[in-house]
Amino acid sequence: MQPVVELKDVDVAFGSIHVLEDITLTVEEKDFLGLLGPNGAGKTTLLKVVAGLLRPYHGTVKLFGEDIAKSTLRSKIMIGYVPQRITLQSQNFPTTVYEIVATGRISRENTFKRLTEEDHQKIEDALRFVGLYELKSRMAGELSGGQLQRIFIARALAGEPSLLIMDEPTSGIDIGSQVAFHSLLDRLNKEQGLTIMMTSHDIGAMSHMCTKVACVNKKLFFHGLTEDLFRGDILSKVYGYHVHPIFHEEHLM
Amino acid sequence: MVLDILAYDFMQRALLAAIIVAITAPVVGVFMVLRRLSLMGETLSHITFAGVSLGVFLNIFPLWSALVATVLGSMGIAKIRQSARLSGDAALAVFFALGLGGGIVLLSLSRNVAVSLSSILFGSVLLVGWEDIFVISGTSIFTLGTVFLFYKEMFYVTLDEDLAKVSGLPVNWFNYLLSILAAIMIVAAMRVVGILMVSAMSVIPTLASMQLSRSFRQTIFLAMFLAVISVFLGMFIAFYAAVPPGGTIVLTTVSIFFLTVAAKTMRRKPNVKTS
Ligand SMILES: Nc1ncnc2c1ncn2[C@@H]1O[C@H](COP(=O)(O)OP(=O)(O)OP(=O)(O)O)[C@@H](O)[C@H]1O
Ligand SMILES: [Mg+2]
Repeated sequence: MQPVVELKDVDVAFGSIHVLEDITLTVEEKDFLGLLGPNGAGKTTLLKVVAGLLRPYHGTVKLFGEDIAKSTLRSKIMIGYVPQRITLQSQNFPTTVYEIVATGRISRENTFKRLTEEDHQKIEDALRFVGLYELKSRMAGELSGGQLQRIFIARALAGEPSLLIMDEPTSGIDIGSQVAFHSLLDRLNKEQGLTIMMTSHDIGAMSHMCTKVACVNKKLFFHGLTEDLFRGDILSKVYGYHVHPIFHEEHLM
Repeated sequence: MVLDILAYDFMQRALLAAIIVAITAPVVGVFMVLRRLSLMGETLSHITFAGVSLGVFLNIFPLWSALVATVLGSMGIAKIRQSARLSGDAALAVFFALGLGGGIVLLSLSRNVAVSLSSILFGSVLLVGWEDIFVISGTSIFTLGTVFLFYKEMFYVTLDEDLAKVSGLPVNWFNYLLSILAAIMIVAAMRVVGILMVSAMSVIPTLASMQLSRSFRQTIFLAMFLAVISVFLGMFIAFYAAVPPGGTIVLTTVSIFFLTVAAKTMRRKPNVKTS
């Protein structure tokens, strides 16, 4: 089976500051990979490299077997991307929730064409998925931060991507919606076989959901099955101090 | 009363030109405002000035030379912004100065006294001829057609460039396209309100529309509608008060903007605001 993402010897630098070094990482189909690491570790950078938003100065990035250095122009939607900080260019950006989620269906395949019945169906489904269907005609500027985040998650899902990349999608989302969201991700991953990469600082929740985990802090410290993460003191090495993960069930149940 | 105005040939042409511009300019304006390119529009209009002056100097129809100069200028600015060798504002400042300085020098070198500086700066809609109408309609059809064809992509890129890139859209290409549309719109609008007020035709109706509209699509249509109203009122007032139409149109637009701000403030529930 062809890997979904293949990073080989990837180095990324901003000017003279090296942010990622020597990252070699493979994401297989149906993986649910959690990216862990402290602030400034390079998690966002790594996801941007995979999404084609940043060029590494060394190393290769392959998506579904194709080198993305050749071209990031694609006819089909392959990646659903949820950025870390959702910001509209301004609070007054005049757009409805529906118009935002609809962008998730836009690709080079449907240039010159209007969105189809099927597109609209998927957009509504995605809105229902995140539980914000009632807000579809609201202006985006009138949403709370957490609601906006969920709208952008819906947007990413609406495109039916083969790879879902989410950068701290649950930060700022209330605990009830988080639980619902986690079970939704679980279903997408297990039932529909969607490949997911996400970051979060919630190690407990991550270890619960993700099938695999990668720990980065400039370099890749660990990549493997979640259950192996807690052997040895990988976490202490990555974070630089001793870490006791907190598991959610204890608090919720 | 309105028919009084239409009794004159030049008034018919003037109204026609102004309405076409009013329909087109805000459509480009919406994208420029939301992408924070209003300043770019201002700069482009100074390059348009140089283009017009060049036409006068070479004794060719000024709108053609303006069109070429502005489109080239817009692509130059877009290129510089992308390569990021100069910061966006710095690039604009350079082009701004270049356009104004070049324009003034070329204009003073040319012997053609028929074209006055003030008509370029403040518009000369009453002198619009059929060749102008031809250029204005052509550019208008091109602009509206392009936005119609790429509406959803242009919205997507405006909402978030990065996300559009991840979806595989040629984002740079759309950035060039928007610059070119801005250039074309400015050349068309210049005849009506002059280069000093040209961005008022595109930006202010958009800002007014944003106060009231409840979706992106509505923002565009409402901006067009408000611009057309401004043009009608402005021309009407100018005709009967015997004042320059370019300035009157812009003043009407600004008045409408303030009305929409007032309307929005009144519509909002009287929340107690802590300051
Ligand atoms: N555009 C940029 N220019 C310069 N340095 C940058 C830029 N973006 C990120 N960095 C640097 O790269 C490093 C990694 O940043 P990144 O955003 O990938 O961290 P992260 O792991 O996502 O952190 P967090 O948990 O806070 O989201 C940081 O040290 C940051 O300062
Ligand atoms: Mg981050």
